[in-house]
Formats: sequence, structure tokens, C-alpha cells
Amino acid sequence: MSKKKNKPLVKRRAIREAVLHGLARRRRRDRLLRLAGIGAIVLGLSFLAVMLVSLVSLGKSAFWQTHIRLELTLDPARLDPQGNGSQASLAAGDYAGVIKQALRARFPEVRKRREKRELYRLVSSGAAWALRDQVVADPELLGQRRAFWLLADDEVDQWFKHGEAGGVRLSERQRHWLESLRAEGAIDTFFNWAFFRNGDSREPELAGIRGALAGSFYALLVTLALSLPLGVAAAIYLEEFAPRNRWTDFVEVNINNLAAVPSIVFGLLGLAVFLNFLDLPRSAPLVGGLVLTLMTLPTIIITGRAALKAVPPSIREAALGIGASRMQTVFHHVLPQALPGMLTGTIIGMAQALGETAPLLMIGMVAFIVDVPQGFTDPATVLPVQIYLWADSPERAFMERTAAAILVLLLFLVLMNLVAILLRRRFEKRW
Amino acid sequence: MAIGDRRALFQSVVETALAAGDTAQPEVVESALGTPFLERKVSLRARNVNVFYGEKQAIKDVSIDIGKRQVTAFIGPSGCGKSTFLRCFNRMNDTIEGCRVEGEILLDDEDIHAPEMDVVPLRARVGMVFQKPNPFPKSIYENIAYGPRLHGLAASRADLDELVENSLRRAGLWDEVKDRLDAPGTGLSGGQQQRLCIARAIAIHPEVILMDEPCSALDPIATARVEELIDELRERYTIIIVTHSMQQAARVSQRTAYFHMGRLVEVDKTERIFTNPAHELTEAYITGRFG
Amino acid sequence: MYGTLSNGHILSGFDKDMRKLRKRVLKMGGMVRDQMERLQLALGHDSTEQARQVIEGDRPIDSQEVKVDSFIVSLLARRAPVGRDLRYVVATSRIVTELERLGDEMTQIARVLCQEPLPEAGCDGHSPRAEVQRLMGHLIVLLDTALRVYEEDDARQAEVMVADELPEQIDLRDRLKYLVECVFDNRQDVAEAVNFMLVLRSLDRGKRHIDNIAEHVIYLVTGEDVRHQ
Repeated sequence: MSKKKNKPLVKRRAIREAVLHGLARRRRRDRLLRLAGIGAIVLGLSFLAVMLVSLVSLGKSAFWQTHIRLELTLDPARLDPQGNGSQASLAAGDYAGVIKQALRARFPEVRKRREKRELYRLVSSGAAWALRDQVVADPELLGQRRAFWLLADDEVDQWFKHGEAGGVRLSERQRHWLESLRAEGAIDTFFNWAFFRNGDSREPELAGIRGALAGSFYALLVTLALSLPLGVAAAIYLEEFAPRNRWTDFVEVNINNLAAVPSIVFGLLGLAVFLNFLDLPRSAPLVGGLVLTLMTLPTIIITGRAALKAVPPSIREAALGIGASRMQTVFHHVLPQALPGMLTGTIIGMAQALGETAPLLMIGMVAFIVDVPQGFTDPATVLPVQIYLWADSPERAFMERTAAAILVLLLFLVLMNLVAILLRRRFEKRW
Repeated sequence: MAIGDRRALFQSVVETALAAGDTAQPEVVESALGTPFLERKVSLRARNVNVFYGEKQAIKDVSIDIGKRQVTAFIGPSGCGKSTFLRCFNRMNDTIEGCRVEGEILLDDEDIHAPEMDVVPLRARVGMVFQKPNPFPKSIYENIAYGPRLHGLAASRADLDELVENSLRRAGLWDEVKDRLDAPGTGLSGGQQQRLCIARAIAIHPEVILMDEPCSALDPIATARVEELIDELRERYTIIIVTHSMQQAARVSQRTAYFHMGRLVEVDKTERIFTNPAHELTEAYITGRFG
Repeated sequence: MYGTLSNGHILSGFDKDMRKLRKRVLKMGGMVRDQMERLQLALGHDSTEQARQVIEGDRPIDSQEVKVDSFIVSLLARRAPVGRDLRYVVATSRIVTELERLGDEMTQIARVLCQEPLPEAGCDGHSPRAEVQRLMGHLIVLLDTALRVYEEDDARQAEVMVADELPEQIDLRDRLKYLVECVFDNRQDVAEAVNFMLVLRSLDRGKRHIDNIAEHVIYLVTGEDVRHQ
């Protein structure tokens, strides 16, 4: 071999060595980047885990409620004042008196008036209403003497669930009575149906999320009914039909900006336009839905346009080339392709709206409302606002209810996202 | 030269040829317009067409006659405007923002760019096949049936079935897909997809079929099948094909037009373009000596 | 440089192949020319030995023809030339055939020379041998012109050749015509006369092959087929 031919070989070896030399450093960097990524994910997941664990540990006890068992004498003289057994007569009965009598009978040593009042406070005021409902539903119970599990007061509930740490406002005497009840097994926890059945209440043991759930449901219904057609129509127009000019650029920029506007501003807008100008009812899911529509519309338009953009232009060309009009092209070919993406965006927008608080505060959905709303114009509150309200309450029992309500909200959000994923899978699998 | 003058010149050439008892096409090269046609053999007639994209001019003063029931190939380097010009024939350029077309293109003496001309019936008469096979994400049957249904060409389901079968047969695809008409069109191979697109185009009985590099995404065997199909379709349809492959132009077309920087440099019988082109630029391009 | 356009082919290998083809054809032309010069010498010395050398010398020309032909086939298959390139390859293929035939004619003359010498006495006092030798010189000049025309794509000169207007062509044509008439007039030895006729016919055919080369060059350059006109 001539020297000339050997020369590049030497050079090549030098290059190879240089590459090998740098390889170790390159691999180190690769590893570092990978570790950094894994670290970030671990950190994020651990934050999520901490949040979930603390929420569950705090909120799980709210799903059980303490009850006290008492021997009640359902005296017809007290409970059926008119003596005819009619619904009206039964409803007017002195159930609280029956309960008080039973308590006095259980603890005969209590004589003083102050002590009696403390004794009566062991049972929730709601217990009398529950008893009344039971008797009205089943008048046969009149005259009987039997044991009933009665809803305990929230302080008793906390004491029973958390021991000495809970029920800080209980007196020594009350604790003593409760000990004796516990000793004979007359105090226990049951699943807290009231939490899902009741509206809000000043008494923690009576407070539930049904009102807030109904309010959220009605508000989201309004939001969906308005923002989906409007958003889809706007997205289609902007993406498929609008000419590119300064005017549509302006509209586009504004839609993008709208998505970034703080949500409370929408609340102010709602207050000014829907309440003050249009005179719509305060605290109503209708107005809440309108405000949430304003908020979710940009999200839906933006995701909808992205979904339309993702449809390959060759499909449009194919349809146009065969003589379809632009509208036929959009509705026969483009929209079906874009729909899963659009629906995903819509559901994510809805989830956002479900979790929104700030704009609703401005239109009075923050009021204390006991009744479960029956329609779009009834005063109502929504789940996140309910959480906000409870988090603000001083009673310890409201703390666990706050956590429980957050868990319910999270559950709904996860469900909605799940639906979004399933929808996308289902539609995209078609071809 | 004014349009009228040029047409008159062609007329006289043709008439002289006819008077001489010469029924073959006269061998007269008349500048870029190439060998003139007998009047009845012209399907599309473009005169002084200019196309602008905003400020930029993509097509400059192109005049050409497209013969009936023959294949005309447009060749030229990338960006020479051949695809743009092709899209003038069914007004696909309408969909492009800022695109402006001047001049006249006559299909049976109707100016297709006239304001009163509706693109929907136009595109039913001038079908198109695109570079990338683009079947609809629907079944094979629906792919073919969509056009006829759109234009109301089939009165009953039986009519439609027949139309679908005929179109697929004519596209040479029937035997391959007759057992799976409900299968998605996007599940076919690339070559089959392209033939499906051709079947879809002929299902609405167009007079002209425009093909924009129909084989650029296909392998040689699939390409050969499509070329064979084009050769068969020539009996019924006027075909204009844009292609980057000069061999393909040589194989399938009867006439070839060479475009360069938005101008029509030369159009003539394909064998002449590929053995002895009149223009130096054409020569340089086809022999691969393009600067 | 091949071709009239200043730009080369995008594939430099293409141009390289084309140049190689031209070189091989010119080499073949050179071989035929050598044969003609040798034959001219043989005529001058009246040497059957040299004439035999000419017969021997035909074999390398034949093998060169085969070589060039297979190269042309491979060019067609691999490069798929079109336009002017296609005409160039086709014309070259024809020129190769003409050269081979020209070579054959020279061999034919050499064969005649080996069998029997040409008649001593001519019609107008010139010796037929000297006459043939002189005409052979014309033929060499014409071949040189044809090869130069091919090398330089000189269509104008080729047209002159096709029109039969070069002085050598005119002289060659006239003398051949005269000599043929002369052979008929002077009834001498029949064998001698036939031999002489064969030589004259080969000369005439050689001239036609050279003329054809010019026709092929015209086709190459202009695309017009001027044969049989």
C-alpha cells in the first residue's frame, strides 16, 4: 500500500478517538437529563400524593356520622296533638320533647336546669326532624316504645371520632355522660347519607353538598348548552370560512387574550350585564352558567380550531375536487374528523368551569342557601363555592366536610377527564 | 400577437391541411402553442392566463389547447407553475387565499372563470386526482358513492351500487376490493388508494380528469398500474397530468407541455418533445442539463 | 466539449460516459484510417504482403465495433438518454456500423490485390494502380472530414458533404465514373477487368459510407433525418 492511501486511515483513527473521548461525557449528560426528568415527575407525583393523602385522611371521617341510641316512648298525646292521626297533626307533634324526655329518663341524676340544657345538647336539633319524618311516614310507630339511633351533635361526633382531641367544647359532665353511653354501646357511627342528601346548614352534622351539586349541575348545563354550539360555530367560521385579514387577526388575538383574562373579571362583567342591566335573578345557576360560558368559550374555540387544523387538508381537497361545496366539505368530512378533539376541548373547558369559584362570587352564588335548587332560576351555590364557604367556618366538623367536598369535586373532574379520553379513543379508532 | 390573430392563423393552417386531403394533424410548429389542433378535437382552451399569489406572479401569459381524449403532460422544474396552472382548470386555486387568475379558460366555449360560473358543476365536469392518495376516512363504497350522491346521479340504491361497481371496474380495482366494500378506504395500499381516488373521480362522469403528480407517492409497480389505467381512461376522458418524472410523461402522454418559471416554453407531441424539442430550455431540462 | 449547451449534465458520470463513447468511436475511426493508409502504401509498392496486412488488420476493427456496440446498449439501459442525447447515441451507433462497413470495403480491396495485380495500362495513360492510390488519398481526406464533423458537431460542413460538394468528392465521383466507362471501353483480360471493377465498387461504397456518417451527424445535431432524400 502506498503512503497516500494510509494517510486518511490515521486521521480517521484520531477522529474515532475524539468521538470515543467525548462519548463518556455525552452519556453522562444524557443520564443527567433523564434523571432530572424522572426527578421532576417524582416530585410532582409526590406533591399530588401528599395532597390526596391529606385530603383523604382529613375527609374520610366526614362520610360517617355519629348517632346515639335512646329508648324513645312515642307518646301519642305529645306527637298527635289533634288526636286524629292526620299528617298535619303528626307534623305538629313535639318530637324534641320526646327526645328530651328520653334523655332525662336515661340520665335520671340530672336535675339542674343548666345541666339539663347541656344534656339536651348531646343530640342534634336535626334528630327531632328526622324522627318526625319517620313517624309521619309510618304512623304505626305511635304509642310504641323502642330504641332509635338519633343524630348526635357535631361536637359529640368529633369527640367520638377523634377522642379527646375532638369535641373541645364539651364540658366535663357531657364527656362523662358520653363515656357511659359508649360503655353500653349506645353510641356509634353510620354512613353519612345526610352529606349527600342535605343542602347547606349552620349545623355541621346536618350540612350536605346536594344543593351545591344541583347548583353546579344546572350551571354547567347552561354553560354546555351555550358554549358548545357557539364555540364550535365560531371555530368553524374562523378556521374554514373567514378570510385572513386584519379584522379576523384582530378577532383571533382577542380570543386568545380572552382565554388569559382572570376569571373574576368575567364575574364582574356578569354582575354588570346580567344582574344590573338585564335584571336576571341573583345567585341563580342561569347567570352562573352564562358567566362560565363567557369563560369557557375561548377555550372551546381555541381547542376546536386546533382540532380543525389537525384535519389533513388533503381531505378538504378531495371533497372540493369532487364538487362538494365548502359547507358540505366541512360538515361531511372535516367536522367528523375534528369532533373528538373538539369534544375533548369542551369537556376540559367544562371541568375548568366546574372548578371555578371567583366569577360566581361576584354574582351572588356565595350566599348561604339551605334549599336544594329545583331549577335554573332558584338561588343556588356550586360545589367549589360551597367548599370555600365551609373552609371559612369555625366549627371543626366543617373542616372534614370541606375535605370530603373537595374529594367529591376531584372525583367529578377525574370522571370528566376520563370521559374526554374515552371519547377521543372511541372516535379516533374508527379508521 | 392578439388571440384572434393566432386562432385565425391556426384555422387557416388546419383548413389548408384539410383542403389538401391531409387528415392527419398538420406538422406545423407555431411558437409555444405547438402543433395546432382540429377545432373539434380541442377540449380545453386557455388564453393568456396569468396567476398571481398576492404580488408574486406564478403563471405568466400562458395559452394552450388541451386535446380531447388524449393525455397531456405538464412537465418542468419545481416551482415552474405547472401545478398552479393545472388547478386553474377546476378552479381549485379559489381555495387559496390571495390567489388571482386572469385570462380565459374555455371549456366548451364557456369561460370557467366567469363570475356566473359555479364551481360545483364545474368540478363535476373536471375531476381531480391529487399527489397524495386522499381517500375519505370512510368505506370503499362510500368513497365512490359520495360524489354521485352529492350530485344526485343515482336514483336508487341499485343504481348507486351499479355506479360504484362500474367505477371500480373502470379503475381496475373491482376484483381487488369487491369482497370488502365496507372496509375503510384508508386501509388499502398506496397504489390501490390512488386507483380508488381515480375511481371516485370517474364516478361522477367528468369530461376532464386533472392529475397532480398522481404517482409520486407510489412504488414502481403501483405506478405502472396507474399508468396503465391512465392509458385506458384516455378513450373516454381528457386527461391532464402533472409529473416530475419525465419517463412517465414520455410513457403516458400524447402531448407534453414544458413550463419554466411560470411560462409555457413549449408544447408539442410527446415524441417530439423527447427526441427533438424545439426550445433549448426544454432540451436542457429533459436531458438533465438544467443549470 | 460535448454538446452545444455550456452546462454539463447534472450527473457528471453521464457526460463522462458520453465522452468515453465519442473517444471509442474516434479510436475506431482512427483504426479504419490506418487501414486505408496501409492499403494506399500497398498500392504504391504493389505489395501483396502489405495487402495481406490490411486483411489481418480488419479483425481489431470488428472487435472494437462489438465493444462500442455493447457500450451503447449499456448506455441506453443505464442512462436512458432522451432528446439530443438519445439522438447522439443512436447516430453514433449508426456511425459505428458505417465505419465497420468502410473497414470491410478496404479489406475487400486488399483481397483483390492479393489475388491479382491491377491492370498496368489505363485508359488515358494513367496507371489504374496509381489512380486507385490517388483516389484512396481522397477517401482518407473525406474520412478525416467526416470524423472531424462528428467530433465537432459541425452540421454545416456535414451538409456540404451530404450535398456531395467537396472537391475530393467531386473528383472521386467523376474519376470513378470515368474509370468504369474506361473498363468497359478497353476490353482487355476479363479477370483483370472484373478485379478492377471490384476495387472501384469498393471505393464507391466506401465513399457512400463516409457520406452516411455526415448524414448521421446532421440527424444528431438537428434531429432531421436526411437519408434517402
